[in-house]
Amino acid sequence: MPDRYGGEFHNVSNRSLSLGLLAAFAVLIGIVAGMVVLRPATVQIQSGTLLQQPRPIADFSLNGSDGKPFTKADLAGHWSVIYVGYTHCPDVCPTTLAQLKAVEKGLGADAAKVRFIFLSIDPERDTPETLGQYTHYFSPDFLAVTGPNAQLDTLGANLGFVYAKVPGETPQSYLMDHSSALILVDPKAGLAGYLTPPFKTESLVSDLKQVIGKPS
Amino acid sequence: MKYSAPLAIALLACAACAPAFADCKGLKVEDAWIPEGPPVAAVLAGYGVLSNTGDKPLHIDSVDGADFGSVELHQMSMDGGMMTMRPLKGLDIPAHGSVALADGGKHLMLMNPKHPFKAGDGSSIGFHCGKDVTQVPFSVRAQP
Repeated sequence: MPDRYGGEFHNVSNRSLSLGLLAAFAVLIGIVAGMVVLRPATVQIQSGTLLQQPRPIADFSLNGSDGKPFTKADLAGHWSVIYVGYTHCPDVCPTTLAQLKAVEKGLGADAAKVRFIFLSIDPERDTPETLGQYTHYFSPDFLAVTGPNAQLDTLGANLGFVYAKVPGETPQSYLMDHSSALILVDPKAGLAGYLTPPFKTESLVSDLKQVIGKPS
Repeated sequence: MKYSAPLAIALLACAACAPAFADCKGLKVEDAWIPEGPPVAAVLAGYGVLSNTGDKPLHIDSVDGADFGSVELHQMSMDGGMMTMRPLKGLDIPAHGSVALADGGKHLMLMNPKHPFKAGDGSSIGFHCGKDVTQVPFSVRAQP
């Protein structure tokens, strides 16, 4: 008797276990399939971070070096790489702009899909006109923009950049601290991510090519 | 002991006048260059490698150049994603040591150029150590 009942019990247990395992396996398959199907398309980049979902940017109004206002609408329709700096910065700003020129060249035909923007956080000394002359020395295709501090602050809060004025020996020799990352904006004018230093031209080119190729 | 007072005075006087005797002897500047910048640039950078071939530490108090309104020594640094730049109060070069002035670090801040500079141009920059000064020829080069 114990053997028979025991045997039956054993058989039932085996069947239950098999069914349970099958169900668990099915659930697991479902979870994995769901993760694959529902996962947002992500692109891995070498030089920074892409946001899982682009973040909307609030309206703003700056002045472009082309003499036109520069607003959120000007960010739409193409990728934008925004570099925050100022022209009284002798070291890292011209070096980065020269590097962006090399990146633009490295992008080849894809360069037409990207707009490089030099955003000055020093509107007191950088007029749109001198800013344009400064920036076009590096590339005539680059756009330079600046604007009132209130607008720069709004945009900074949206794009995630900060800046601060540091007094110098004379009222005109002050310095500016500023965020160092390149800001990436997608063709729908959404904040897409950041490229962070140290910048390597080859990595920036390959990252931008990958990002441009990603459906947005 | 009666000589101790004059001796002390002499020693003090010597200590006080020591900086006046400081010189730039042993200062060697290699690869001194200025990256060509936009003609409208109000500020240019100066780079190079400053070596001290002497047995005593060198202190550079200030830097100047006839082609610029003023010249300062600056330190660029990145801190928590922020680029910051601060003026340096002089520069110490240890005996038989060297200090690099390079992109993203210490550099010369050449302010208010009196004329635009193009690749191939040159400019003389003076490094002051006490009352002594060493003039160093810098050459303007295109950004690499």
